Amino acid sequence: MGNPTASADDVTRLLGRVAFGATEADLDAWTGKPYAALVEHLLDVPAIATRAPAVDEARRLSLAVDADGRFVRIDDGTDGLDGARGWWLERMRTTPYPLEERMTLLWHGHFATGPGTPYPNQSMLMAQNQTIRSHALGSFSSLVTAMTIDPAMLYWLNGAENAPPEPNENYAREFFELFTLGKSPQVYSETDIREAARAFTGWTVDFLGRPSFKLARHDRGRKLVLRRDISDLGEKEHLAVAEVALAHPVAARFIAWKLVAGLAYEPVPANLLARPDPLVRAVADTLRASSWDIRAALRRLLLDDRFRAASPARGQQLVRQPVDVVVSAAKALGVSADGSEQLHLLAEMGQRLFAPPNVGGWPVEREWFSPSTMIARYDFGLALHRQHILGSAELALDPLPPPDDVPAFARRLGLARVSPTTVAAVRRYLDRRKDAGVDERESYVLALLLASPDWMVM
Amino acid sequence: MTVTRRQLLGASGAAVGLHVLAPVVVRAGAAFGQTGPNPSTRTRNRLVVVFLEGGNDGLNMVVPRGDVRGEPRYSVYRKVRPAIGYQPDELLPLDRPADRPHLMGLNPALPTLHKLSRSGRVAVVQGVDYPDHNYSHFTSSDIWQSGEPGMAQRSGWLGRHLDRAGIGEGELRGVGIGNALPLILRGNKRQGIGIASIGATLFSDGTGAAVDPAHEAFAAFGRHPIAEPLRHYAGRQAAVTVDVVDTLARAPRPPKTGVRVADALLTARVMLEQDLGAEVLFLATSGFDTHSGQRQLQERLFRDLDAGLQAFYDGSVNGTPTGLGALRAEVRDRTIIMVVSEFGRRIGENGVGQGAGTDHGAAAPVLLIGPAGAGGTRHRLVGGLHGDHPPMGTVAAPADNLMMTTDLRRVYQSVLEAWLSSSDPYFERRQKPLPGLFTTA
Repeated sequence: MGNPTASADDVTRLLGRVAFGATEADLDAWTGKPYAALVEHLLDVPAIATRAPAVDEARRLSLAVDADGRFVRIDDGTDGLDGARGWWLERMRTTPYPLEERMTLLWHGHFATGPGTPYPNQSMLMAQNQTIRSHALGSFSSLVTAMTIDPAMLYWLNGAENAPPEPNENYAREFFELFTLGKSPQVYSETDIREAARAFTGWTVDFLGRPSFKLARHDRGRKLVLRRDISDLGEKEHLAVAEVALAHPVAARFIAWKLVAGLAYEPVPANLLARPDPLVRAVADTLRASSWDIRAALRRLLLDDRFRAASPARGQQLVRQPVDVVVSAAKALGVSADGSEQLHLLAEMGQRLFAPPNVGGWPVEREWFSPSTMIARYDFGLALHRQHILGSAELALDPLPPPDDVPAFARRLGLARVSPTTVAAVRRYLDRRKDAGVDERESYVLALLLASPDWMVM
Repeated sequence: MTVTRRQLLGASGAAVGLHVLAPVVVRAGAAFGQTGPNPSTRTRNRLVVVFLEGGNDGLNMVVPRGDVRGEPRYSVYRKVRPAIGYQPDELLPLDRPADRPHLMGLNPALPTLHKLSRSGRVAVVQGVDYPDHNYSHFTSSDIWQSGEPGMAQRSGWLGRHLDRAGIGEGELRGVGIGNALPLILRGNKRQGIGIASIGATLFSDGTGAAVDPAHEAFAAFGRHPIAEPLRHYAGRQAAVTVDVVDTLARAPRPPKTGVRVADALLTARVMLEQDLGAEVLFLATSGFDTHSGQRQLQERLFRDLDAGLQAFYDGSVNGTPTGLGALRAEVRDRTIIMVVSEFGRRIGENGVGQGAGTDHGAAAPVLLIGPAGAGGTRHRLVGGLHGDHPPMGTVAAPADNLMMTTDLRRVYQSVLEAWLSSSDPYFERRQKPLPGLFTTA
């Protein structure tokens, strides 16, 4: 491992990639401390069941069930989910365990579901979110089996309609392609998909919104998945399918690839068995050796020099996804992340929580950038500044640094350093708007920094 | 021909160092009141690709109405689709003389398409797919967009067209309507521009002297060194964004119709009518992954698509005028709309009654909608059915899937050669154009 001491750049980059950004206080607290201690601090997340309820628990429950304890329906399309979105964004901003939320967000994209008519409803999406959270740093194998019979997932990928004699293949196909094995290389066949679909038959959702196995809807014939016989196991067949899939050598590589692509950089596309990215291979080895312990895999990833010193010159950087943009900036400034303007701009940037664009989850890397989303990223800083002004007195927010001090301003946003091109561009603006009021200059320095290559790409 | 503000500023030295940015040439139309439309744009044919995301069930879009020459199409169809199948008299018949013997019909939720087809403006290429079919949404969608079943090149077939045309960065010749730029418009060197809508292509602080310095500072992020390629790309996107906002600032905003795909088609229409240089456009409309509740769901999606076609050509949505009027003749005569999806669906349904749906399938028809007459073009689209309908097995032994009768690369190469005066060397080496899809005037 490299220098045991964390530099300010280390703090900016590590927290920027896995913990919704650094604050100025983080930079002060961790610069010069052992890098490994910061990693352990991030990983030190007690299991949800052993923790006192989070301060937002009442807000969460109010979104999961209505006043009569019944399902919350989504009556007005996806916009009806803004309450849930706002709750989650605020949780990401305020949690003492940012890595847990960051991983919940990553798995939310991996096991993508969205609202349906009438199902999945908001209660189911909220329940799935909490299930993911409870496994976010735990065992991937438990997570994948929980998702297989998760009510939101059972509706989203038609598991609830999957019954003999014509099984519905939708979930089985994505189980292999998106959730466990990927397609690089493709190690399963169309027959494996059909057989796995038969093994998954019988699962439905009961009237309380819980998964329920009905033997009468289960295909009791013989099934071979990836050459293993998994017949006659009834409600345990979905566990057997997961076990068979995760036992394949490509599974750990595929999930490790997801972790590297989600938290570090998008590896060059390659056959994961023949030519894996070295960091992917290392993380995969840990996943297998630890029987799918996500926390162990993350420790391996975050402590690896190929993560810590991933090469910007080789494009090994991470684009801040829109949710990360909103949460990190709000956190750095001390304002809330759930304002209606933020939610609107988040959608314009291309990311609506609880409603990914398709079953494949969110875009990656360059796909986040286009004129429309760049406009929203620019507008976001201006909106955030308005919120900062409105909230300054009420929330006793720290004043912003003088706009002319670009490096200090950037540090306030968690950037230990700004590139000369960005400083030059912002200074050029300041020179040309010398006579503008401080509010205006402040708002534009904020907007420009938040839409700068330095801040958007970590 | 006009230049953007950035070039003017660069030329006058007002924007420090901005001249290092790649020159961006935008052809502005008469709407800007500066110069007349550039003839090279006005005489160019255009293509709008509409992608039905999720895997559209082609067999319920262009549907057999009867058995043909010993091929038990309709009998098989009725047998394997008791819940989602259509009766012959529910369908809108493809009944032009050349099509009549084939006994095919359009889904009843597509009346505008039917009207267009009766005037010979719709070509239906049957059974289109690629070898070694892949049933994954993502892989198959990438193959349809790249035109390359092996996926050795990570570029789109229209992106490669932009490569060959040698467009400038920021030039609006390839336009993806949506938040992200799709693969189809990504070349190996050049790429199209993705915009969600014309109305949204505007900074919240507006335009004018007070905000120009901020927008120009944003554009100056485009100078981020290439030594950090991802940050460099982000900076270039900022620069392109400022250009595109400038170009679209005075373009009219199409009316909102309340139908998403119609809004996207109207955005395409305004881009074409304003003569902003748009040549190849792409838009996607989602929801076609009809694993359950298919009949109702697909009809709703088709009604929306049909409303979009009506908005594009006639300027009205479900009979209500949008105020745009009919598509200008010189644009109509130079525009083809191509409707594709990542795959068709299985022949047989699963589930029962209202809940019945279909799993991912293989071949499906591609639609091309073009001008009725020759217009000013040398090549003319030939309406009606093209290619062979895939075999459907027998009533005793129905086929599981519709297998390819026409390789998608033949369709693409035909469109490139006849319509866009271009040719993809990759297609050229492997596939001949489809005979009869276009005639030479």
